[in-house]
Amino acid sequence: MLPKTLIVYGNCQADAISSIFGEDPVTAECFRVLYLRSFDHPSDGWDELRSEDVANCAVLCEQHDDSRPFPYRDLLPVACHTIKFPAIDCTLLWPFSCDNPYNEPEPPVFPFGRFPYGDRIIIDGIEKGKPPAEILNYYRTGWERFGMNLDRLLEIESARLAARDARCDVKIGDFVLENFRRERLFWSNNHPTSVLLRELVHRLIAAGLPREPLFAELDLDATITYRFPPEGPLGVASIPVHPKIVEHFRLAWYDAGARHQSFGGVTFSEPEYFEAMIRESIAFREAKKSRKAPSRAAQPREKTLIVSGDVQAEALAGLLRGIPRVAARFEIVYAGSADKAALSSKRLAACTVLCEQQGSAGPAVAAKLPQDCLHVTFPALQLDLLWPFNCVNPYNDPEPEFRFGRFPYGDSFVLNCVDRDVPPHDIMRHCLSAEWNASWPDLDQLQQRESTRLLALDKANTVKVGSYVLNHFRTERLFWSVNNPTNRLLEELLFGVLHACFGSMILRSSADLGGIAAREIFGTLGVPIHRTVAKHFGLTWYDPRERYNYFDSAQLSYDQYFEQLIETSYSRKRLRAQTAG
Amino acid sequence: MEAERDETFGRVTVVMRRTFRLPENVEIERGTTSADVAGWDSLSHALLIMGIEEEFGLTLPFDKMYDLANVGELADLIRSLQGAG
Repeated sequence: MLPKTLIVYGNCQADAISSIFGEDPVTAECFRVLYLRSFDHPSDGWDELRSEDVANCAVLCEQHDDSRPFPYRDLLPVACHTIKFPAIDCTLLWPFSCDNPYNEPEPPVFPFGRFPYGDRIIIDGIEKGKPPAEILNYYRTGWERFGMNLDRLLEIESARLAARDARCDVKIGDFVLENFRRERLFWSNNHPTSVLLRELVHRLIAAGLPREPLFAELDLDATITYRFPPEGPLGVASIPVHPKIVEHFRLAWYDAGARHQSFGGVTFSEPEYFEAMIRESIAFREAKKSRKAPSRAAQPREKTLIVSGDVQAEALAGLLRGIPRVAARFEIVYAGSADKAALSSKRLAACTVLCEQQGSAGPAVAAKLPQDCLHVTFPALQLDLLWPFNCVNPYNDPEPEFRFGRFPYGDSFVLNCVDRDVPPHDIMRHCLSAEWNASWPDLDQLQQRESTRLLALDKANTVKVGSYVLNHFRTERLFWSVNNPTNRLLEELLFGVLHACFGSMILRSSADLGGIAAREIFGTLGVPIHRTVAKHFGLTWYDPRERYNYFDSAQLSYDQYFEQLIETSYSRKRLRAQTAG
Repeated sequence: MEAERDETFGRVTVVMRRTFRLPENVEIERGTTSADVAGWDSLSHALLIMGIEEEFGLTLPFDKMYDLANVGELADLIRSLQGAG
């Protein structure tokens, strides 16, 4: 039977909500979460839903918009529960905000352009042909001449939010008005922060998502905190607030010295932001007037996406090449740690996106990137938890048929026994025992250490995978060995990278690796998991009868794997002794 | 009556052109709605309301300002408020 679907329909805010539901392990367990956008994306057009997904819809979260109702309403099942929620936007912080007429999409890094949010005061100055410094000075010092009555604006905005809420099942206006002074609720007039998204998602749940038994474990706050960047799913651009508005509304959260993230990952101080916006807009206007494309379009830069890191990064580069929409727009280059040519100054100067496995490129490389290059970092995928004895195998050497040796992953217990000439059958007895020797690693302490390490990786990297591993390793096989991820985890990494590179508009289906055999990428060698470890952590997918892939063709049972490891290690030890003798 | 109505409507269109930065060749009629005007969304509607209030020296009631179907209804609302005043 197909899983029930939860469809979220609406603008980019709805996309963010669907991402939160989709990332949340409990919601994702109960529903297949789908997003349908209600607007024409400047570079990706419209989405469509499959009729079977609509027919299987248990819950439709529909963002209220009279002009764009959910287009598949007739196909919804009778039992489908529809929850209408409002768009969340606010004029109070940017009352002069308008579409910037001197801006155009530059996909993929700038699908909405470089400065899509215009400002009427600034645009007027540009259209009057004033010099940039004068425009900026007027914007910053001419408030009294703008004719803006902020108290009346607050009254009108309150009425607007109330009128919108009245048409929806879920209300949010009260929260906005009560909290906008105390907390940052918006990055721009239509991009809410995590604080506001979190509140909306909680209200959606309360408004009637079916109470699945699993929902008792729902922790959406953790999902938002650990599965998204610190600025949340919609924090791609933070627009500075005019100092007079900060002062009038007494915005406690506003830091005048803060840097503001803009599209493409560039950050600006407040004056830098407006300087850059004025400069870009004037350049665009001049080019348009003379019927020439702006200089950057006249000399299109080769679009290069560099992936740097170890074999996992190499696999990631291969997967990105397999996504037509990405491959059509970028030359995708893999740069291994020893591959200096791939990170040459010339290549870096043409780099549009650098996807760096944490620490693989280094600050010297980052310093050579163009200012508008998007720099995304992701962690090496590793989990020590399931193999507490994992170590480098000192009795392993590369062989013609075994590039990495016969047993590249050692087992410290087994190898200590080999060092001490413990008879093979005694070693096996311990390997097969259901008891956990008191001198062996404390599994709870190990889990604590791994949790700390993985969450620290999430904090340090753009792409978060650590919390996903912690939340899912019990119910899904994520690793074949300590550093060989399964396709399932690679999907998460790939989606995280796509999301970081191309924003919230990327579809999860782009990262679907369903067409690739389960062991094709990193499954050449599976390392058995001790039965007590599996039991201790409650691995629901664990099968003690599993046969583990052993390089190209062999499949070994748990017993066979350890028998051969012990035999090969003793054999290698004897050989070395003979050679030394 | 018709002339007064036209004058009110004309002043509304001036405010609209200023607020939404509409060129002269864009026609505004009584039946024009927000869907017909680029840049007229629920956010910029607040600026239109404030511009109208300043132009006509009145305060639009909250229960009406987000229930107007088109520009004609906005002009009629202004006239009714002027008459009431």
